Amino acid sequence: MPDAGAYIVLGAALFAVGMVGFLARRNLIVMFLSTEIMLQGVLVNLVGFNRMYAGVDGQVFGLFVLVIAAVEAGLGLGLVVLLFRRKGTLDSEVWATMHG
Amino acid sequence: MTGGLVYLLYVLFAVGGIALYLAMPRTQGAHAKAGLVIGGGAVAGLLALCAQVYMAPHGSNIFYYIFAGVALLAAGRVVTHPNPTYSAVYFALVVLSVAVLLVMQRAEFLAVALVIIYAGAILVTYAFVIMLAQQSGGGSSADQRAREPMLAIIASFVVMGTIAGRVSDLRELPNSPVEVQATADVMDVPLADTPVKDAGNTLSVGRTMFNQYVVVVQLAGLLLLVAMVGAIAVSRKRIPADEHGPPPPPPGEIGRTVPPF
Amino acid sequence: MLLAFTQLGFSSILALVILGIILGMVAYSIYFERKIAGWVQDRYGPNRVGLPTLVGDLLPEKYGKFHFWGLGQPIADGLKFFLKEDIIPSHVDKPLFLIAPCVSLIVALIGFVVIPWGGQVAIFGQVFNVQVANPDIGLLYILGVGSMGVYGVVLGGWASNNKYSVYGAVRATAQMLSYEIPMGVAIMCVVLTCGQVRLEEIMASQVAGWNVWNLFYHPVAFIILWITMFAETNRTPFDLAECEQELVGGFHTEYSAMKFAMFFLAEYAHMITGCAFLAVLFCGGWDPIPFVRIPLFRPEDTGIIAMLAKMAVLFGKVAFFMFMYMWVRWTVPRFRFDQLMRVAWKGLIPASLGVLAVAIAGLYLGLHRTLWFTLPGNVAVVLVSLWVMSRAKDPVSGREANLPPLTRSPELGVQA
Repeated sequence: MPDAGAYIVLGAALFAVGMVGFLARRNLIVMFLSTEIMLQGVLVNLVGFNRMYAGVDGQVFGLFVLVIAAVEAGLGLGLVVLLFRRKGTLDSEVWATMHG
Repeated sequence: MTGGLVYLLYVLFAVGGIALYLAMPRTQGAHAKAGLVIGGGAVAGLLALCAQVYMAPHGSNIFYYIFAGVALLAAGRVVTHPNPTYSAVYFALVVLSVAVLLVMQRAEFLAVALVIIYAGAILVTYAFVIMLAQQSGGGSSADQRAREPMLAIIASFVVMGTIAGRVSDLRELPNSPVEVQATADVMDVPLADTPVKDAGNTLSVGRTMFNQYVVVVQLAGLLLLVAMVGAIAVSRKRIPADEHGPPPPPPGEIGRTVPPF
Repeated sequence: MLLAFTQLGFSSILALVILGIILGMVAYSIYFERKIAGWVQDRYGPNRVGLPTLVGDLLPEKYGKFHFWGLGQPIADGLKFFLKEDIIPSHVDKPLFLIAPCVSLIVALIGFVVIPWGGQVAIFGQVFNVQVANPDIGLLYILGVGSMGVYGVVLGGWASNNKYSVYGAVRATAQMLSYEIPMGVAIMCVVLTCGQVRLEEIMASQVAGWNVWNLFYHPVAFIILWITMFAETNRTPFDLAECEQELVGGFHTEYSAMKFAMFFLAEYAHMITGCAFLAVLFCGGWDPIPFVRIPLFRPEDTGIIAMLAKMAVLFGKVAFFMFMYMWVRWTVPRFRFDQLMRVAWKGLIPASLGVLAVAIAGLYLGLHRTLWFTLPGNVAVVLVSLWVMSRAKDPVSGREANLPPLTRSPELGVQA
C-alpha cells in the first residue's frame, strides 16, 4: 500500500488546485465546488496521516470534515440561491459594490 | 527526500501552475488542450516522484497512480471548465477517485460515507442549483473570464510548495505502527475472503468516534441542526425589490405558507 | 486452474452467472410487465411473437399457429432497439448526452455484488461464500451505489437541453434527496437490530435462533423501505421524472434506440437489485419460511444442491417483489409533485424516525431482538401517526384550501 507521504503530496496538490479555483473563478457555484476540492485534499491528508499512527483517529476526523462539507453545502447553496434571486446572475463580481 | 528532489518537486508544481493558467477560461478562448497536455505531464512527473521517494514496490500501487492522476486532472478540469455542469461532473470524478484512494488505505467506511454524502447528496444539490440557475446551458460572462488567474495560481502554488516541501521529511516520521492496525494490504485480500468475525474498519471507527470523540459528535449534530435552521430561514425569506435585479414575482406565488399537514 | 479454487475465482464465476441471470430477468420483466398490465386492464398483453423455433410452424394446420404465449417478445424488442436508427439531436450537449445512459446502466449493474445469494458452499472440501464480494461496508455500498443512480437521470435531462427533460431531472433530484432520508433511517433500524453492516452477517442473524426475520421486528421500517424503493427506482406512483402527461418522456424525451434501451434496462436492473436488497435485509434472504428450520435451508447446509435451493428461494422473493412493483404500477395512480414531497417529509420521515426511536430504545434496554418489545413499539408508531393524520386540517390529497380561486387570465377578460 502506498506510503503516507504519497497521500500528503496528493492532498497538498488537491488543496492548491481548489484554492486556485476559489480565487480565480467568478461563478459562485464553481467557487463552492473549489472549496469542496480543498476539503477533498484535507481528507486525503487526514487519511495519509492516519496511516502513520495506530488507530483510526484520522478517519474519524475525516467524518467530521464530511459534516462540515454538508453544512457548507446546505447553507452555502441556500445563500447562492438567495443571491441569484436578487441579481439574476451567479457572477460573484456583481456583489463587489462595497469597495470604493 | 534529498535536496535535489525537493527542487524537482517545485519545478513540477510550477509546470502544473502554468498548465492551470493556460487552461483557465478567458475571453480569447482557453488553451485547454495545451493545458491538459502540460498538466498531464506535471501530474505524471509528480506521481513518478512519489514512486521514487515514497513507495515500497508493490503491485497495488498501480491503483494509486491511476486514481491519484485522475483525481488531480479532474480537479484541474473542475476549476478550469467554463461550464459549471461539467465542473460538477468532473468533481464527481474527483470524489470517486478519492474514495478509491481511501479504500486503499483501509478507510472503507470513510470512503463509502464520502460517496454517499458527497456524490449522493451534496453534488446532487449542486446539480439542482445549477439546473435551476442556468437552464439555457451556460454561457454567462462570469464563466468566460477568470479573475486574476496568474495571482491566484502563484498564491496557491506557493502554499502548496510550502506544505509539500515541509512534508518532504516525512520519510523520517514514524511509519511503522500502521502495520499493527492494517495488517494486510487491502488489495491482497481476496474478494470475499475476509474472516467474518473480523468486524474491521466500521467497528473501529465507531468505537473511536463514540468513545474518544463523543462530545465532538454531539457538537457536529448541533452544527448540522443550526445549519439546517439557517438554510431554511435563508431560503424562505422574501426578496425585496432590488434596483439591479429582476422584479419580484407577484405576491401569492412564492413564499406561500402551507399549514402543517 | 488454481484460480478456480480460490474465493476470487469462485466470485468471478458467480458474478458472471448472476449478471446473466439479472440481464435475463430484466428482459423477461418487461414481458411480464406488459402481461400484468394486460391482466390488470382485462386484455391479453403480448401474445403474438413465438419463440424462434419451428415448433409452432410444424404443428398440423388444424391446431392453428402456436405462439408460446408471446415469449419471443423480449427478443424481438431487443432486436428492435439494436436496429433502430440512433438519433442524437443537434441541440443536445453531446458528451453528457452520451455518458448519461452509460452511467445509469453501470450504476444499476454493479449493486448486486454484495448481496449474499446463498450462504456458503463447499466444493471439493473448500468453503466459499456465495457472494461476489464481502466488504466491511456491504450495506452502505448498496446505499452509495443507489445514490449514484440519479446521475443518469440528471445528466440525461440536463444534456437533452429541453425544458421537459430538465423538469424531469429537477424532479428526480428533489425526489431522490427526499427519499434517501427515510430509506437510510429505515435501514438504520436493521443495523441496530443486527448490530452489523455486513449483509452476510445481517443474513446470518436472521437464520440464527428462532429464524425471526427482521420483517417481524420492524414491520413499519420494512414498509417504509419498500415505499422508498419505489421512489428510488422512479416507479409509479413516484415516476414524476418521466411522467408522460406532463413532461412528454421526462428525462429521456430526446433518447432513442439503444440509448433509451439502456435507461430502460437500468431501471429494471435497479429494481432487481433493490428487491434482492429488501429480501436480504428484511425477509430473511434465502430462508424460505420464518420461525421454522427446514433441512437444506440451514446455514450449515453447504452442498451444491442446498446452494441452488437457497438461490432459488432468494430469486423467488425477488420475483415476488418485482410482481408487486408491476401490480402497483398498474393499480395506483401517480402522485402530484407536492403530494410526493409531502409523503416524504411529513409522512415517511417522521414515521421512520419513530421506528428508529423504538429500535434505539430496544437497544438501550437490551430488548432489540425481542418481539414483544419491538412489535408494540411499531404499532404505537402507527397509532400515533394515524392520530396526527386524523387531526390534520389539510388532507394529503386534493387541492390545497388556501390556493387562490381558479380564474382565467385577465387578458381574456373572462372570470370563471
